[in-house]
Amino acid sequence: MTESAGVSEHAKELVRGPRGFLAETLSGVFGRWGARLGLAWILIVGFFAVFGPLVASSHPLLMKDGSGWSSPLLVHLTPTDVVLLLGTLSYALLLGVRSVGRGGRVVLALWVVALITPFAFQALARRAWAGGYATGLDTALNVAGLVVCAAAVVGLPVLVRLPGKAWAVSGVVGGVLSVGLVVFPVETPENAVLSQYREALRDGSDATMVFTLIPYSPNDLNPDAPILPATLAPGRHFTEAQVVAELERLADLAVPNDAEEADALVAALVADAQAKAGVVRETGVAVDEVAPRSVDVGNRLASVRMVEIALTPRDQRLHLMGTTADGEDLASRMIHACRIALAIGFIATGIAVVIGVLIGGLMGYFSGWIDLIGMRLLEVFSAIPTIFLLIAFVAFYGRNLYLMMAILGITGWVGYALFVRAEFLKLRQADYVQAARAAGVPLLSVLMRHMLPNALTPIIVTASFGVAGAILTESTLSFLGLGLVEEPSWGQMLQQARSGGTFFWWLFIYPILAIFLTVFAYNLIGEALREALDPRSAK
Amino acid sequence: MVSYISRRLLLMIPTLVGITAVVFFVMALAPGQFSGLTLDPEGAQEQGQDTRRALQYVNRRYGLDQPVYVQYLRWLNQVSPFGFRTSDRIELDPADLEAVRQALSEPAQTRNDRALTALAESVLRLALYRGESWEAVLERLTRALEEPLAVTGEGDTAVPAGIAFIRQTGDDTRLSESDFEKAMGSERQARVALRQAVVYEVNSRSRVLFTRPAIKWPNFGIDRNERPVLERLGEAVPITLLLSVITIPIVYFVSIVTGVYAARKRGVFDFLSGTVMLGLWSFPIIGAGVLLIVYFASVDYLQWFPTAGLESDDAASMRFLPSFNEDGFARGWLLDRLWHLVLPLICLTYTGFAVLTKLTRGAVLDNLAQDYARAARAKGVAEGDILWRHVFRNSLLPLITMAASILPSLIVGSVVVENIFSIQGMGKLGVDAAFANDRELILGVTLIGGLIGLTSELIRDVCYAIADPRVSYD
Repeated sequence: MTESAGVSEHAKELVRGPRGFLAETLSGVFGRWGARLGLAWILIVGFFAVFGPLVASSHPLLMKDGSGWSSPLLVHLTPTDVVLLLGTLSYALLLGVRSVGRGGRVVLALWVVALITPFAFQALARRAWAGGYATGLDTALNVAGLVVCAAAVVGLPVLVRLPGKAWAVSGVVGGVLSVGLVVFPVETPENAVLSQYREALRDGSDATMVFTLIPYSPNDLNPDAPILPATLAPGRHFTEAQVVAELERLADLAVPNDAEEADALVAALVADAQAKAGVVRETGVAVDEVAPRSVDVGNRLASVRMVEIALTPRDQRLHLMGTTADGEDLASRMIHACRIALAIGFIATGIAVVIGVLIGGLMGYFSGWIDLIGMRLLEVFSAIPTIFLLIAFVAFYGRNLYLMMAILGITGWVGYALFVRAEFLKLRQADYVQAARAAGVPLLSVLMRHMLPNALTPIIVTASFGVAGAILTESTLSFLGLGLVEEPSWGQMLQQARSGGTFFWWLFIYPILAIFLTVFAYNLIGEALREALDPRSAK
Repeated sequence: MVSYISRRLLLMIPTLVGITAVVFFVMALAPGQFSGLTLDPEGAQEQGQDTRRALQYVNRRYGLDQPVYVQYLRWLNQVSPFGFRTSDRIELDPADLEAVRQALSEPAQTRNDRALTALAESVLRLALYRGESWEAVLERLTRALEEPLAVTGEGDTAVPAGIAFIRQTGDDTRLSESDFEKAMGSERQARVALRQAVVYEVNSRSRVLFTRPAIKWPNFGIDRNERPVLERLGEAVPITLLLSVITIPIVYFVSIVTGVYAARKRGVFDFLSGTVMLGLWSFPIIGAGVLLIVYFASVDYLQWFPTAGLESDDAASMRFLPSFNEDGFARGWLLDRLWHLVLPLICLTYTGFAVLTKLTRGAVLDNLAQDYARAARAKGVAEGDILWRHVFRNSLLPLITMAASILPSLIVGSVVVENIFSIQGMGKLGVDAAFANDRELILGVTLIGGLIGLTSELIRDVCYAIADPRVSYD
């Protein structure tokens, strides 16, 4: 306690030995403010990726009705939610293990995740099998996931050297969690009616409900929702004059060259909206139940709904970022899309890195004719206009998140292979590699243990740009109409923003900002990494 | 140098084969297979006999009844300038002709086969224009079928044949020009329909007969709308190349100026330009494109620029240069084209700045620190001369390297830009083809895209040798 911080730091370093090249680089990188800002944003996105379901959900966190207290939110968590939450929990628990560093703890947490994932998904998979609606693709993905998990559970302890005590502790944590998942399997109810709580409250039910911060699920269709973002439409009520002005603008667009008809249209729309508003005020029922829309002048007037809603007093609900055309809360969708954004970036890049390292490593180590064939393969893949291949892939194989990741990975490995090849060509002549081979170290060990760590640095730089690229590509595909359908993703919102001939700016600005910030964050980190690794910038 | 270039050109061939093979097998092995069903949505909606025949027809037409590798080799033969000539001749069975005759003599309501109905309508219309009996028209059509035909033949021979065929009757004077065009249209339709009807009926072996090896003009096949793929590529590729050719100098100019300035001044400008460029690089093109088109072109906001296309409807009748006439200022073809290009070019250029600026800055910094620059400064050479004559010339090499990778990334960018601004370039063609599952078109676009990428790499290497006297390929 009495010694100064500097001395203890030095003493620690003496005990632990000097830090590795990677650790040195990383600490150098995150000393830069650009990389720190980038990391901060990624951490925010990461937080929402893990805790999104606890932040935004239509299910009440706690509910007390006739049958006592319950938590619909916890009941409706999906296996993915559970795995992510438990993974984070186990990382927090492993913070207590002092004998391993930061990186070691991440490895341990990943190992626990790999252990519990099959248990979390077993109920869902079994139900799909029993129900007979598991497609061939589902089966293939499940088997692939199981193989990856099993490989990680067996492989990580072999590949990463950590103290046995640490493995034991994480084994206990993983075991307890797995047993818990077997005893209380994750059985997400199908076809949850998201509007039931809203309706119960409106009908004056005496149930007590405690909601989360944003009380809307991403797919909660709510026809009563005001469509404009709350931040920019204070109080969500327009004045009569504003409404009439908006209607006139819309009528002008609908019948551009006929002033009389436009006037008639405005009058009809105003009367219609006012009548509905009156009925709603008197009886308190929802707008859509009053009367079907009487005037239909095409897509342009889709935003008349906005005006109707503005004229109608309704339950006080706050939509921070507005809603989609179907009344889904945008803020909730943005939050739930964080997971997809991160997953696409990391998994796609991960696949690309693995393929690139394998092919590049083999080419570099063996050189000769393997290198020659590999170079042709590289040439072919680098010359294919990837975007067309991607579009063709998605158009032929269908829209599936995991498939999209796989495709992005399969088409994006060329850069990594080139780097690893160049690095391995250099390293294979190095004395320590020759010595390792002469000492009879198995080939796989030479490649993975001795050569790969020294070739990793350029890969990390490229990968951080690769993650950014994958997110951009996903948004491009979504924008072209080849994106995901059921789950919300940022790119998908961009496409919705322009649907029906009207430009819903809030559906565009928020997601594009999120995409930009995420890509920018990865690029900032990549740039800082590159500078930290570039010997010329040291001077 | 010549031997180097020709060696590289020869090496391109296996690479191109590899590219098309990857794309071809990806499509062929897809679970939602490439068959008549995906090719012909209309056919899929109809029931029974007709569907089966439509399917069979499409499968035969694309050779889909063959194993995948045979299909690919066939396509390769078709595209390659060296290969076997193919012939499309269909042996007409008298029984088939009889079926067609019968169909024609039945009343229209009872015909339930699409191809036969189309054939009957076309033949009857043709007969009406000519004032002949439909039997005579059908007779002629049958004879015309012996010539190579449009559908997968060696180029589009139907139109000239149609003109000749109608002239043959010798009496054009009776027909007005529009009549003539209509008759030509139905002539072509009739030929296609007859062919379909016959192919439906004929229980043929392989449709394509390989005859003799020859040097021939590459044939990219016909797309789903019965148009030659080569023709569509011929329309689309120049547009995309035009966009790229304008974009590249702009990107280079801005990046070189910013990069050199950042390297010289360092300090705040260096930091700001680096950050801003990185920010621009991170901003998705779709975002920029949609924001620009909505706020600067749509009717709801500022209408400063056109929303779609590369030229106004009346561009063909414009003078080339801007001029004044009785209506006041006329902007002319050139200004009109530039006016349409502004927004797409903004989208295409801004993402490219970051990498090139970074590269220029790094190279100039490196070279400024070199001994030769110091020596020149010690000799008293003017600072500007050192920078532009010595340092900049030596910094050019990495910039040249980048040129090759810029072109493919521009093509990716053009996919988005062309789709947002409705420009009928290669990117839009590729996306449309992928959506329509148009195999021949996708393969054509991929081949040309790969060719452009490889060619730009070759040009880069040649430029490299020109810019750096130390590099020699001989």
